[in-house]
Amino acid sequence: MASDSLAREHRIFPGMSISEATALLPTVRLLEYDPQEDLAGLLELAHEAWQFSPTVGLEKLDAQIWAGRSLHQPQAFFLEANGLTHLFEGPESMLLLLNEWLCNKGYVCCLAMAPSIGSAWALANYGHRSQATQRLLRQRKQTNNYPHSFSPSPQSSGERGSGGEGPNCLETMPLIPSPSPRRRGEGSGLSSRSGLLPSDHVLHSSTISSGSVSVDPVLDQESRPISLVTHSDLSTHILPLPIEALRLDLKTTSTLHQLGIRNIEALLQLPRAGLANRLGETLLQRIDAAYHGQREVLHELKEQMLCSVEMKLEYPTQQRATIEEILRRLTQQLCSQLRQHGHGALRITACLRAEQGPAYLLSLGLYRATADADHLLPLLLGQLESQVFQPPRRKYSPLKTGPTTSYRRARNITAVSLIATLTNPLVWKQVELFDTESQQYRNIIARHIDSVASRLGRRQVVALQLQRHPQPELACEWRPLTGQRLDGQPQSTRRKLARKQHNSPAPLSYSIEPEALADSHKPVSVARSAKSASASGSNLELFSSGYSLSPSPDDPIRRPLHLYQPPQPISVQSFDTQGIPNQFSLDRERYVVQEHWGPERIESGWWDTAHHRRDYYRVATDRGPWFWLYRDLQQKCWFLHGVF
Amino acid sequence: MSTAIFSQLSNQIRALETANRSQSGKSLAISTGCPALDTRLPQGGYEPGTIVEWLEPTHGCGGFYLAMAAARQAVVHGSAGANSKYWVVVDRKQRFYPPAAQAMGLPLDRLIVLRPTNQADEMWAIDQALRCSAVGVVVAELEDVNELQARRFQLAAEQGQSLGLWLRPASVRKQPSWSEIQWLIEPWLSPARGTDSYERGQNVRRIGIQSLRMRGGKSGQRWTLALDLRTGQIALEEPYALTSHLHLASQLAMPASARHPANRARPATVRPTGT
Repeated sequence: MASDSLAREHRIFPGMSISEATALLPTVRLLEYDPQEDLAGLLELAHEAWQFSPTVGLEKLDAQIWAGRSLHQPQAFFLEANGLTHLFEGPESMLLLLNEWLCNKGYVCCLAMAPSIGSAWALANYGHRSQATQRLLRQRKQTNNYPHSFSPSPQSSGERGSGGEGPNCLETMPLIPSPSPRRRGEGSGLSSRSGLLPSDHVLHSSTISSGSVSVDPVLDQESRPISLVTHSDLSTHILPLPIEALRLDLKTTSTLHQLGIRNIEALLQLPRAGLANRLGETLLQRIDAAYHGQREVLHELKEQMLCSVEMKLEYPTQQRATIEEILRRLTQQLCSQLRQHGHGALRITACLRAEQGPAYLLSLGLYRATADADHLLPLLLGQLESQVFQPPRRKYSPLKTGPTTSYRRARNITAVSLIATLTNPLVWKQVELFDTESQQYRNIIARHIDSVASRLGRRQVVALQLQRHPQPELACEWRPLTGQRLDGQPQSTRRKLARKQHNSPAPLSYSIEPEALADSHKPVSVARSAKSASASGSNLELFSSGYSLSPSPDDPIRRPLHLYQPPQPISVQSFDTQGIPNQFSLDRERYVVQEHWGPERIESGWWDTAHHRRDYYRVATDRGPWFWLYRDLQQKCWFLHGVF
Repeated sequence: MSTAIFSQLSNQIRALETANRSQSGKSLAISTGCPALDTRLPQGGYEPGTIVEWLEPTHGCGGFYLAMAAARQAVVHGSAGANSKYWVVVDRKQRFYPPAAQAMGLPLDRLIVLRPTNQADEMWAIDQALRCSAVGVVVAELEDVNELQARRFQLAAEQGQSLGLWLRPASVRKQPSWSEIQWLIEPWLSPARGTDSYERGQNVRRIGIQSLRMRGGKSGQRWTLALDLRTGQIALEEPYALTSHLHLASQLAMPASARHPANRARPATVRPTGT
């Protein structure tokens, strides 16, 4: 689990279990970790890092997860710094610039520049771990806000590391366990460590640790988590590091721990030949990479994806027609590659590298996997127009569309690349002789969703996923329609949460007799299930002798069509004999209650994160509207939650 | 003889007004959700490819329920092939609550919700949804729509043969509209508790509607719809005996008529609030 700054104020720290966190702060809000969004955030960061180095790559994973990691997915990226440091007035200035860039983006950074991928990765991931933690804790002390917000729950301690090895000089940016995700699905729980790797004579490694919290920009020189390591002092920095810094699998690490070996210095005391025989060649390779500076291959970003194409321009250009033509060609090439693999793209990132400044990133999410260039190109061109050649902002008025709309000029573009960041195998179906209308509609709606999501954004085009939750506001979960594998299995955490809900004790809402609520200070004596009342044929008529009627579960207007989130507090002027509002004010308007139905008690279970007890009433007012009000039995106040 | 001529002329005028639809002569009208009200409409319901508006003096007066009832008819019980179409809700304010729609019988597996963040995107999204032939119904809350944009919506609906259902504040009733039918919701004021006319335990919600605009039909008609809270069915009650142009003095002069159940809770005036 990761936590944001507000959650950390309440001593909810990364790595805690959910039960611990909810025990410390019952109102904590848990969000599920989304590895796909995490990877997308890392890729976005890596793409933008092209402004510092032409060679950027993600770490290459082994078949098994590394010790010290909880996620088996790329969590770090590398930059090659060979021959580039003089452009930034030295390696240290380059590291400081990288640090500033990442801090401005809201990450807590640890940078390292070293001679090899292995050493940069080690220093990035394990050289500044305590420092990064202290910085986060210091943030917690300096922040005094009260949190009603949450601790998202990615992995227990996801580490991002990147290592890369170039011919001469590399910068690597491994990412560490992220203690605080920004928000759900957006790089949540990412902290990045980056290590910069070697030039041929001077070896630098840098680590960047990024988090979702705001960063304290004022740090003294010593506390700045930046390492500059050369060949001569490499051993000094590497030897004290734990053996997990060698990117070893869990089995090897466990064996070494059983032997009492905790750090690299102790490991190097063992005979080399014996290590190879007992623990495998990989261990020796990792020691050579980290300690002796042996070079590894840095896989560029585009090479690590299933399908990617790139075109570098001989001369920088800002001509729109030229860039559109390049995009057209690249789209055709990308689709050709996708078809060769039998895959279709679900997410595509177009990166337009500028001569100066960060690259332009165009992100495309698709409803169904596709390798159709004719479909993808208009979507990319639409994004190009809206993000690169933005028309001047003006207030909406279709009457004012003049023929002379001047577009903003883009910066000089030096290279354009297209990467399919998420793909899915294409499903081939036999063509039906008599195509049904529903099949036609499915194809049409898929294109329509892609088109709308391209302009509005992925998160603005959503479908509903009903949740079995008593609280009305938590009964709906919206999920984006595009950029997701619909055929994938839910994550383990999702399955766990689902199982937890299904196994939880049942009744989520029930109605109680009005007499029981006459005095709200008394404990409710009768808790009658509305469903059972309905089954006995006495649902509404049961209380017809009183003023209040309980809505039946089968009531078609039991829930309002519009729900206010968060609920709006209302000011009640007078109550009737049963404690129901007679008059209340809302938005400076006064309403007189003519009739009411209820109560329907909705109470969350003890197993939920926050306990809620509410009595809901459907009320008809003198001015026409029907409202859905509830009385919070814990806060003893009234809220408007919906409108019928 | 004269009746036949009037009927013939009426049909000709209607054919001229709706020349771009119903070329086959077969009505594809979608029910309003109230069978008795369908018989009062010139096309027997809402025609696909048109726009229908509900103007509410205050949010929550029942207009959205009537819109969703029509959407249910279009999506579930629509014409041939329409029951496999999708329905779109453009929800810029992000307060649409689908479980209530599901309780009304609308299928959530064919629901697409668009949440534009600004008005320009909202207009564009509605236009695109109406043009899409796989979309049967588009439901949206709209406030300010200029004439040009309203005309675009109407043309888009004709192109996609989809039904646009707009919920709008009553303050826009003076604005030009390209809708096929424009309803004004007149809130039914139920008797206050403690009065003689108060009926305890009633399971009906009454909604007064007035046709401000009805192409091919007579505008200015008023009806009262009774929504059964237990079944969700909508029934048509007797039209108002009193009309808006009836002077107040005549009401006072006829106390017996004023005590008629259908006239008890007639709203005195409609106060547009522009919510």
